Amino acid sequence: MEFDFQTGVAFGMLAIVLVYLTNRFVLTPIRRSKTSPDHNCGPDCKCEH
Amino acid sequence: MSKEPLTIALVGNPNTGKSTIFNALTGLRQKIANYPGITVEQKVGTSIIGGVLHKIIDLPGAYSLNYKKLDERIAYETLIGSYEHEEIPDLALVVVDSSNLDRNLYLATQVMDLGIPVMLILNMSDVAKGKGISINPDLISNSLGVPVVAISAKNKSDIDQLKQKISESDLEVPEPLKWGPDDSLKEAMNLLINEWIKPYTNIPESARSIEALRLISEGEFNNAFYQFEKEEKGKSTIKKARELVEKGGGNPMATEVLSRYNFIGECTSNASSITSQTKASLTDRIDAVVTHKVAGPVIFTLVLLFMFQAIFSWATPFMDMIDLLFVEGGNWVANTLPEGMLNDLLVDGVIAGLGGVVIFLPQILFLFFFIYVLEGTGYMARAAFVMDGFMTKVGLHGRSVVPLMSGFACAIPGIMATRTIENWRDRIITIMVLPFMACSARLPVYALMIAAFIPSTTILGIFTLQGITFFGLYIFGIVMAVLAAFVMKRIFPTGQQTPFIMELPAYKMPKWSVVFQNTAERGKVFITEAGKIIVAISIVLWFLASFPKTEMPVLTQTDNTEYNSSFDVTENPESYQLRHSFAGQFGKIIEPVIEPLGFDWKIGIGLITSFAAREVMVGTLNTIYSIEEEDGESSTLKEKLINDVNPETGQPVYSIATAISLMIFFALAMQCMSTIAIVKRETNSWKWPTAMFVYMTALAYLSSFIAFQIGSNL
Ligand SMILES: Nc1nc2c(ncn2[C@@H]2O[C@H](COP(=O)(O)OP(=O)(O)O)[C@@H](O)[C@H]2O)c(=O)[nH]1
Repeated sequence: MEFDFQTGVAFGMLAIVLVYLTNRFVLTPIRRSKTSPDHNCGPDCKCEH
Repeated sequence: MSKEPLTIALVGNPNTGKSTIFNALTGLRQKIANYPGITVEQKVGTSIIGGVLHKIIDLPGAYSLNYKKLDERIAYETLIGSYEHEEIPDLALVVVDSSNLDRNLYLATQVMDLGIPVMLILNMSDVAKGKGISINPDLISNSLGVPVVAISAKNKSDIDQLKQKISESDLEVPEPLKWGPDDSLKEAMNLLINEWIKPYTNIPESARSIEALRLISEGEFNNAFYQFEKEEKGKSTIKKARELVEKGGGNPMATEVLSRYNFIGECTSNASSITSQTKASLTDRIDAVVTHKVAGPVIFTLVLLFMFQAIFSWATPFMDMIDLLFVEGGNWVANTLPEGMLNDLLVDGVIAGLGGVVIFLPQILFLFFFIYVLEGTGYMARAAFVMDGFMTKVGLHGRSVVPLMSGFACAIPGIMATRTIENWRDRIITIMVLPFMACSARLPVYALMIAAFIPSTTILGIFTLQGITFFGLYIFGIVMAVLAAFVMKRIFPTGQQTPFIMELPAYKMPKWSVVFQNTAERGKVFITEAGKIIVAISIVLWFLASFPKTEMPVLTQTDNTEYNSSFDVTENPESYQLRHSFAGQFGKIIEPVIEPLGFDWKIGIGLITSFAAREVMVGTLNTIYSIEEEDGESSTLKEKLINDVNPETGQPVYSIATAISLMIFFALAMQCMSTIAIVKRETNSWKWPTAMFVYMTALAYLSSFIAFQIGSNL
């Protein structure tokens, strides 16, 4: 497989997309699940307020 | 009345015209701030009444003073003066909607128990008159024991009359508990007040009887709302109090509510009458049918059936147009760009993946259009009412209905809406079953399978088998949610249900601008949100499906038998390459697991990607099938699915049994990362999202297995 311009762009896109997907499906859910819930969060909840 | 400046509070159910009255009284002399630390608006203004400058507070709308909801709690705390830096109001103006008197008076009877002067404002007199309801304010005043004024807040002279009445008020405190709790309830209240509330809590004196009643009906205290000592003592006293009520023949949960409504009924029955039936009851007459025990569910079913049939048939021409657009677009890119990797990636990866999903935009738009029209006309509330019947029969709380119905759009807002359910277990059960409701992300998968594999036989003239299957999948979701709730309810009993009041707004024409705006917004979200993920996944998938590059061995007579198992003569080089790519190899690894469900490895890849979001499945299939397609060919995904043949057996990959099995899998499996994340956040524990994922996906696997095994052996 020779490495021409199109191949370069294609792999570039792959890289961007991998970063996006990791952020969207790994980092964001982790961050989101950590933010504190609102009121009425039940017995498992360690509400500060 | 004294010429002292007073603090006057406006209380009432939502939408009774409180704000209108507040604005009329205060004019521009008002300021809006947030209550300290929370985001509920506090509206305070001043008004000159009878030459004195009074302070007016508009409290958040509340249906009761049981303060389980933030709004209600704020209204309650302001009235009893426990809110920081607020004095107890000198006068409470209870605003009620005259056209819905009985229900609105519930709150009024509660406010009357707080030991502050009360005046009742029968607002919306014009609406009541229009409905043929006539009310005698003097009779109401006599039986309730508070001053009453009937007005229409939109009418300036009525506001003047209200001001007059306020300035004449002698600020008399109404007789507490006028609604007449029976002896055992009174005894229970006294027990609670004397043995627990007075000695051990910081509840202000004026609120003690309301608090006692609340504890009796709920059976538990909410430690977030007040300070107390000796929790154990509190619990045992509540238990004793409830036993007293039971001994007296009452139900601790319902006695208070029933007595209040009895009292209200007595007050209003002779003070109000319905004169003309005609205009009055258009809404009521429709409701008599629409919310009827038998006709209600039938109508609800027909509405849904019609809706899904329409979605299916009306969207077709638009879908064909979009399809054409993407096929032509793909061809154009393929021919314009020089040959190379980028060309393939764009055409077979991005355009195919995106096109596979965007094609469902018309159906999504129609779906939301119908949902918003049903909401706008007021039918949605009736549908919820009808569902409520089923829900409470299986033991779900009435408040679960609205969150469940919003699950038709997406589980996430539905899960957030469960915050209105006060009982934690009821709430958890609702959250756990909510993802069974057929959300809009499932629509593309259902639609694709149905269009390809369900014949479009016409039934009953206007319906087709396709439309009915579509509808059936939505009903299936509801039934599974209800069944799952029923089972969970047996596993975690949540106690008896507190009565739940649902508001049925009058029917009206929907506001079309709102309907179209909201629908367009949903379409935009579908394209941008789903679109981004699909493009991203299609790109990754294209790489996984295109590497490593393998050449198809050249077939010769002699080694025919040797290669027989790894490829066959009919296979083209593209599918050979695909089968040996990373994606293909991975698919082959998981194939044994999904084979019993009737899925081949390509569907398997689709299933894996669909765990990110369900609609990605369709994009994935389109990408995989486009890579496999010989260059120059172009057919729709539907045709590709129908024509796909298993190289090993020579049989079509998809049979009706496969399609049904796949639809059942999508109906039941927990394939949505965002939902998992929200459940984690709302429950603050990984326990629930994990349990949800496991039980739903296991159920999906099992059901698909059974469906396919039965289907393929028929
Ligand atoms: N016909 C009629 N409409 C009213 C009257 N009072 C208020 N409204 C309307 O009812 C709706 C709800 O009023 P609003 O003051 O916002 O109610 P709130 O939620 O209690 O503050 C608004 O559209 C008002 O214009 C009334 O006396 N007659």
